[in-house]
Amino acid sequence: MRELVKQYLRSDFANKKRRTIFCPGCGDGQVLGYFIQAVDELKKEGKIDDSKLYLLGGIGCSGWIPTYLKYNTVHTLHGRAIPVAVGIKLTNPEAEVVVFTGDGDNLSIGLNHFVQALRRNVGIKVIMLNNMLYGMTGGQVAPTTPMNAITHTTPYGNVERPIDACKLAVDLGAGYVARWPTILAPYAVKSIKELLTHKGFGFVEFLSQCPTYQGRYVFNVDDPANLMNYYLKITYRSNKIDDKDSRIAIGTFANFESTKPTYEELIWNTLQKTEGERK
Amino acid sequence: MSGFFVEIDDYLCKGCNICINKCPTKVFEPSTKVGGYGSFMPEVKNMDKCIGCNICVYFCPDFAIEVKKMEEVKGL
Repeated sequence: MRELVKQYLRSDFANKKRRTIFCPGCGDGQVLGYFIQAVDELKKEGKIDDSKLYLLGGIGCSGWIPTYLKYNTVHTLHGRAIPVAVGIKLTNPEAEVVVFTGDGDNLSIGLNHFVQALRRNVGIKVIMLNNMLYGMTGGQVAPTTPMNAITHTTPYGNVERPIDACKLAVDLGAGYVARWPTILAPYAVKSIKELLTHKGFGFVEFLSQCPTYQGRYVFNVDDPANLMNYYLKITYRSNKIDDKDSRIAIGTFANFESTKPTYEELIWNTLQKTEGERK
Repeated sequence: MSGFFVEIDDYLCKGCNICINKCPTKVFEPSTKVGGYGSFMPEVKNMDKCIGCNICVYFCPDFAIEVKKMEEVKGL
């Protein structure tokens, strides 16, 4: 087993008593590896205190990613990973809270929470894995499924337009927004490093391959390695999302320290003010 | 003989064959050996071709591949 990863996994997984739940060739395992790599590099550079790291997962395959790691983890309700993260961040503003979520989790049932967290500029980090359908429940249509794609619930082609989470985050003023396919590993690691050192709300989307359902039905590419390559055909590299291009933009769309105070700062300032008035 | 030792874990490998496709020097090849997951595992056939780029290590979703320098491996 990879030595670097072994230090960060829970004992059951590090001692090879259990495997991850992911299908063969799934991108979730790769993102788990990139996250460990990023945390390890940041620790060596002295930029992060990993005892303050809190990891949360929603429901779906991607919600399982934090549960393999040796940190404080919470496996929350469907779509409700962000509210729990906001709660942890408010009670402990020193904590570094990272949410792992999927596209079905974050953009359908949890979309309101995502929008509200963006609006309030909460200092949490969201890593979303986009496989363009509901992978865990059997390949149903999701808000991110491309048009005319065939899934189990749309046998004659999807008629709904997909939602672009990065565009939503940029429009609502998130400080760090990026999107990378899993095949661009160095960019992915660099992006997670930038995300973890960012102060305000940060959002990174990974275009993750799902060979079991997405590969067979949406893209008609069966092999996991070919599916990883296929993402380079349907994307273009740009730091701005172009509405006229039918392909998906990949890159860093926003990277700035916002001048606006974060939500936890505002709440704690208000608390201190009211306590002073009471005395 | 190159200076790298490549090893695939029998228990962890799920047989997705990403390493076979992504290796730039074709170190891995498909085989009929069944791993602990119940799928056909890749085989390290051309270990002398390995250049130590670690692409397989990065891309393996189950962390099954390990690439070491020959000097670090004991008993060889």
